[in-house]
Order: sequence, then structure tokens, then C-alpha cells
Amino acid sequence: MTKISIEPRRPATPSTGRSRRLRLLTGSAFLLTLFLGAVALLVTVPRMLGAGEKPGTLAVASLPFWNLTEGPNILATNPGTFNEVSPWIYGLARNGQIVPQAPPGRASEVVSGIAQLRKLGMPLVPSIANRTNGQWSYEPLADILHDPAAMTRHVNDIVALVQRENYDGIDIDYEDLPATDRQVFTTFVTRLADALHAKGKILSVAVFAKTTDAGDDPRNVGQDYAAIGAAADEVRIMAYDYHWSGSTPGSVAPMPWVRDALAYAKTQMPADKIVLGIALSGYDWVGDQAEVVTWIQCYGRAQKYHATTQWDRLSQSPSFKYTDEQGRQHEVWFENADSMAFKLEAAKTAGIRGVYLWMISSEDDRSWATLRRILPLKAPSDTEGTSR
Amino acid sequence: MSWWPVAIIVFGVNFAVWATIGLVRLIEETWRKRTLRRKLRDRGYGKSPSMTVQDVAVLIPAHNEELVIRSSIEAIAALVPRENIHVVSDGSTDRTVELAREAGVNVISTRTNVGKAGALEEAIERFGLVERFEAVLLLDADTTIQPGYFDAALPFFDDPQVVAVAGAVRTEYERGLSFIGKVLICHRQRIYAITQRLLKYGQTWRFTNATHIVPGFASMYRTAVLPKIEMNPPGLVIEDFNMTFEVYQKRLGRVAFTLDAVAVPQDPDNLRDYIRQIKRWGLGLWQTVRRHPPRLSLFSVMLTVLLLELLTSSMFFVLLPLLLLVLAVPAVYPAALSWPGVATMHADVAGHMSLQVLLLAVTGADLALTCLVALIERKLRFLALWIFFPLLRVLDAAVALYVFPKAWLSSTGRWTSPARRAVKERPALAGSVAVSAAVIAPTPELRGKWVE
Repeated sequence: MTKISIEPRRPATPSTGRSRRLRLLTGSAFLLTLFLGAVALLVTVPRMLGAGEKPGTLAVASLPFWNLTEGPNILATNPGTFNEVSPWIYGLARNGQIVPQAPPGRASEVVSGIAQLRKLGMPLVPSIANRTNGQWSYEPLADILHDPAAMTRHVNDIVALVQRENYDGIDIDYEDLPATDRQVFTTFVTRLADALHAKGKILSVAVFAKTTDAGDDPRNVGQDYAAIGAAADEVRIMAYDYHWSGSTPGSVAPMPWVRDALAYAKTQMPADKIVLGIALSGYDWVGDQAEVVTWIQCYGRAQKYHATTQWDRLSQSPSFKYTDEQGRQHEVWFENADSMAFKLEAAKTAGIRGVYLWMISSEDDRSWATLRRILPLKAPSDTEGTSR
Repeated sequence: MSWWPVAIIVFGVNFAVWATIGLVRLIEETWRKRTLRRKLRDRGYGKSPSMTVQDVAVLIPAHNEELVIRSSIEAIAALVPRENIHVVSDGSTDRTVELAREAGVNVISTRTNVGKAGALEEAIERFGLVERFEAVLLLDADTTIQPGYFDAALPFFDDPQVVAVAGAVRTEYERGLSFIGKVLICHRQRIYAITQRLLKYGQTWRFTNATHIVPGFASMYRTAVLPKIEMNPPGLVIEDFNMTFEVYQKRLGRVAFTLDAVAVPQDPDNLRDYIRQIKRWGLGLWQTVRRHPPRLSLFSVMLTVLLLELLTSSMFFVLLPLLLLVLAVPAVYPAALSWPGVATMHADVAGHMSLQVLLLAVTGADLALTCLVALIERKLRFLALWIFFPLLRVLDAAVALYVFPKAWLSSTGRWTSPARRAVKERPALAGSVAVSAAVIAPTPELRGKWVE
């Protein structure tokens, strides 16, 4: 056995009373600091990451061109409710040029309305819809999508418009494309996004809600969620008109369908690009034909005909029936602050970017308090959208 | 917030950092394997002859171990000379001393019941281990040393800087375990497999040298440093954290570690004993940290980061069930949002994270660890039990936080350890006599007394 010389055995010096107490005190301080440090980490890191990575909840007000007198006042009297506004004001002429949707007689209304919106200091992202002379139209858009030169011209027109008017971006509301336009529409959206981003502007694209890629209509195939989600900054899911003016009566936006649409969208694009569309109005059916009714109109008709509003727990939306003076049976399905609350909660639970309210016009007067309660926005100074 | 911060907290920052260093160690050591010895000799390190088992004393502390002491001795006697084996009985009232004497090893009894650390201290002194041996293996009666342990561990002592070699701990998956027992053992195997590879291997590279634990039941110390270690300070429920911290805080030298020096303890197979054990380990860690304030050293930096993550992830895992509940209940039952306070809480949590992302991040990151372990251990049972590991992590976290304040409360903490378990047959050790090693957890009285 190898023996090596060892220093004489002496016990490790036990620490003296005072130095031991001092050491324990320092050690205690260290342990407590670690504990507080861990608490601080848990509290601050999610906030920092949340702030740095996610630009905060978005609540977009969609204002139709016919409500630009009253609309800006609603935004002004409800501060902290919205942090982006999209006036629905542009359409396409037959030759593909961007033109105002409002008839010439109401042009000054639109101009002063936009001026009022600018004063509110929130990002202004107007919508262009494929509407020609007051009607949805496909031909001007088809010419743009299928002629490369026309597409380039259209992209340049939009960028020029946004820059000239100093908008923060543009919202594209091109509806009812055939399935065969899927690729060209993606090309258009991608090129427009690149062009706008180059100028520091944002692109929003409105799409039909669907729960599978093919959806239930060829127009759903025309919109490639994944490609649009990759290019655009906001993808506005039109989660309404499940029942519409040409369908049988029923909920405008049944909750199970809204949830499924959100869940599907989340499989196709980053959650922080998804903006859920919430309708504020409803439809009044006679048979299989319906007219659009605002909440005020619904309220008025229920009063007038002494109708009792029923709550449907499956769709989480209100409805009532009445018989008019001509003896016609009416069935009204609409949206109010209560049905809106379910959609806001769904948006929050899904962790998406936010919501847009379609359209602000004679809505339930409890709507904005509900919106503020469920989707509180960051301080108004943060709503400039500078983080994009 | 996206999924990755949660995934990082579940996977572990320390694992990521030390695993990277461990990978560098693996490459470096593989690359230099053949030339390492020669290079060390060239630098003058190799002048003293390599240590052999002849130079190693085995020290087994025992308290009322009459059922297992003989088999424990026979098991280790297959690996080291019988005269190197030392048993110190601390206040045994049974035949422990008599049986150990019959086995032909060195036996003493402490004069009074002094606890485990006290018994070790007294035995080292009275057996003269520091003078007579170069290294001492501290071995618990419930632990089996695997053949090959010394071949793997002893060469490290050629480097005079090395003062301790930590054994690699494995736990054995036995037949006949209850379901809970299987889950607990697999969870423990998972922890050992991960921490030793992803943490300790990198921490004990010769350029890093900063590990927080040299397990007290299966590791060797160079006897020359023992006099400098205060082995038995008052008020600690566990001695091995303290011995490890003493090595670093007093800058006594390096700790080496190899995955090839394997020791097999028996881990608790029921929830009650499991919770008792992790309470004791947790409290022991906090007490030891309190006793050793940080200094300017890599060890202190490593420890600060490690403990910060231990606390942070413990808090996260304790909060996790609450977070899941707040997110899940309104998702399944929206009317819950009208209950007082629920809407606000739900909004606060949902504003940061959705249920799906949280669940995916937690289970995904934890499953990544499980897959890694299944790959390392080449056992599919880990994958079968994957869902239970996050649950046990919640338990571990709750216990770690529960015992935290006790670091101040119990200055003379006595401890009750797991009750004895039935003797299990163990396979014969290669090249040795067939050993039916009784592997038994220490008696409650023993460990209870073994704490000042």
C-alpha cells in the first residue's frame, strides 16, 4: 500500500460564533435575494417578452362611408376603446382605378370625416373594396389580377394613395374571388405587402371565415390563408354572415363556428396577425330573403311589435319574431353587446392580435363599455402603432 | 407571448448551457484520449504512481443495519480488500457490530449517537484513515458499487488537483413495483440521466470545475483534504451538499466525475417516502446555501444561476395548474367568466398565453427531455410514462418551495427517513461471489439521529 506523507491531522477549524453568525446572515441575504430575483424574473420576463414581441391588443373601428358624420364622434367620445380606424371609403372604377365609394354628393362628408379621424391620432388604415358604382363587382379586379402590367399599376396606385394621404396602411377587402384566382391573389397580396413595407406602411387583408382550406364555397379556395398570413400584417377574418340576406334565418355569427374559424386560422398563420371581425348588425328575414338591420332598428322593431327577444344558447346570439302590418312573418337575428362579449372572449382566449368591429353604425350602446372591459388597450400613447 | 420562453423554463437554461460545455468536454476528451496521459506526464503530473484499490478505504456508516450489513460488506468486499473496509456503527442497538466483525472488516462504535456526519468524522479520526489511506469511499448501506467503478474513478486522482471523484448515480428499475413505484423510479432515473449528462458532465470538465453536489453515498474523497473540511456543522439535515460546498468555498481542489463510475442506491417507491426524501434534500440544499454565502468564483456563479432557475421554474410549476385552470375552465364552460374575479384573471393570463400554446410548450419541452432520456437509457417505458413526469415536477417544485422557509426555522432539524423496504435479490456482480445484496433504505431512527 502506498503511503504518502500527510500534514498532521488537525480538525477543520470550526468557525467562531461571530464569524459564523455573520456568514449565516450573508447566506440568508443571498438566499432571499435569489428568491426575490426569481419572483422578479417570473413577473418581468413575460411582460418584457409580451411587450417586445406582441404589439398589444388591436381594436379596429370599421367606419362605412355613409356614417362619417356620426362615426368620428363615437370614437372621440369613447377614448381608449379603439386603437386603429378603417374607414370603408374606396372602391374600384371599371378601369381598375381607385375611386371613392361615396356618391359625389357626399364627398365633402367623407373629407371632413377623415379630417376628424386624423385628429384622434390613431392609425388610419382605410379599406378598398371591389365595389363599382355601389355594387360588388369582379371584372375590374379580374383585369388587375390577370394582367401583370395592370397589377403593377394597381400596386403602385395603392402605395401612391397611402403616401399622398399619409395613411398608416391600407386594408384590402376584395371579395368573392373564384377558386382559380388563388395564386394570382396571393401574388398580388405579396407584392403589395412588399411595396407597402418598403415605405413603412402596413397591409391588412380581409378574408372570409372558413374552417378548412377549401371551406364551403369556391370563394374560400381563392384565399390562401397561409400565404396571405405570411405577407400581410393583419388578416381580418370576416367571422359573420354565416346566415345572410340570401339564406334561411339564423345567427349571423354562431359561436361554435367563430371558434372553429379562429382555430383554423391559427393553424395557418401567426396568431398575432389574426384580427377577428365582429358584426354589430343583423338581418330581418321574411322567408329566405332578409334585409340588413342595425341594432337600433332591431330595438325599434321589437318595441313596435311587442316582440320578446330570445337568447339562443347554441349560437350565443339574440333573435325575435314578429308579424308586420301586412301579416308577414318576420324573423330577426342580430348582434348586441352580450353576443359581442362571447366573441371578444374567444379572441382573447385564442391569443390573437385583436378584433375589428364591422361596421360602426347605430350599434348597441353597451358595446363600447363591453369592448373596453374585455379587451382593455394599452395607454393611449402606445396606440401610435410605432412598434410595427 | 409565444411558446419558447415557457419551453426554455421547462427544458432548463442551465441544462442548455452546461450540456453545451459537456459536449465540448466530450469532444476534447475523445480527441485527446490517447495522448492525455503522456501529456500530463510531460508536465510533471504523473510522478506519483496511480492509485489502486489498495489505497482506498471504504467507510460505511451504519445504524441498526443487522439485516443488510453483511450483504453490503460482501458486495463491496468483491471490489476492495476486506481490510480496507470500515464500518462505523452509530448507536446501533442490534447485531450490526457483531455481524460486521464476523465479516472480517474493521468496526467501531461511536460513544454516543452522534448522527451520520458526526459518525463519519469520528470514524475518519479513530481509524486513522487520513494517515493510512490516500482516498476514502463514503458508502451508504443501501448503495451498491458497480464493477468498474474504481477503474473509472481512480485515474482521476493522478491529477493532484483532484480532491474528490463524484460517483455516477443510477437507480434500478425493479420488477414487482407498484404503478406509483414505477412512475417514481422512472422519474428519478430521468432526473439522474439528465442532470448527470446535461449538467454535471459539463460542470466537472477540468477547465470548468463547478458542480453543486458530490453525492455522499457513492463518492470518493482524497483523504488529505478531509481535515480541511468541516464535516459536521450543526443544524444540517444532510451532509453531502455541505462537504461539496466546503471543497469549493475553501478552494481545496477539483471535483472529477465520470459516467463510468456507477453507484446504485435504492430510491423510494412510494409517494410518502418520496416526498420525505425530496423534503430532506431540498431543505438540506437551502440550509447549505445559507451556510455558504457566495464568493468570487465560478462555483458561486454556477450556483447562483442554478438556484435562480430552480426557484423560478419551481414557482412556474407551482403556478402552472392554476394557470391551466384559469385558461381551461372558461374555454370549456364560458359562463364561468361571469363568476366574480374570473373574467379579470382570465383576461390577464389569456393576454399573455393561450391554453393550447401553454400546454404545448410545457408538454413539448418536457417530452423532449423524456425522449432524450429514453434514447440515453434505451428504454421505451419512459415514453409510456411521459405524461406523469410534468406532474411529478409540479410536486418537486411545491416541495422545494415548501421547505425553503424551513432553512431558517429548523436550526436543529431532525429527520425521519423512509421506512425499510423488503430485501430484493440483486444480480451477481461480475467476477465476484454471488451477492444477495440487501439494498435497504436506512431506518428512520438512524437518519433521524444522524442529524444534529
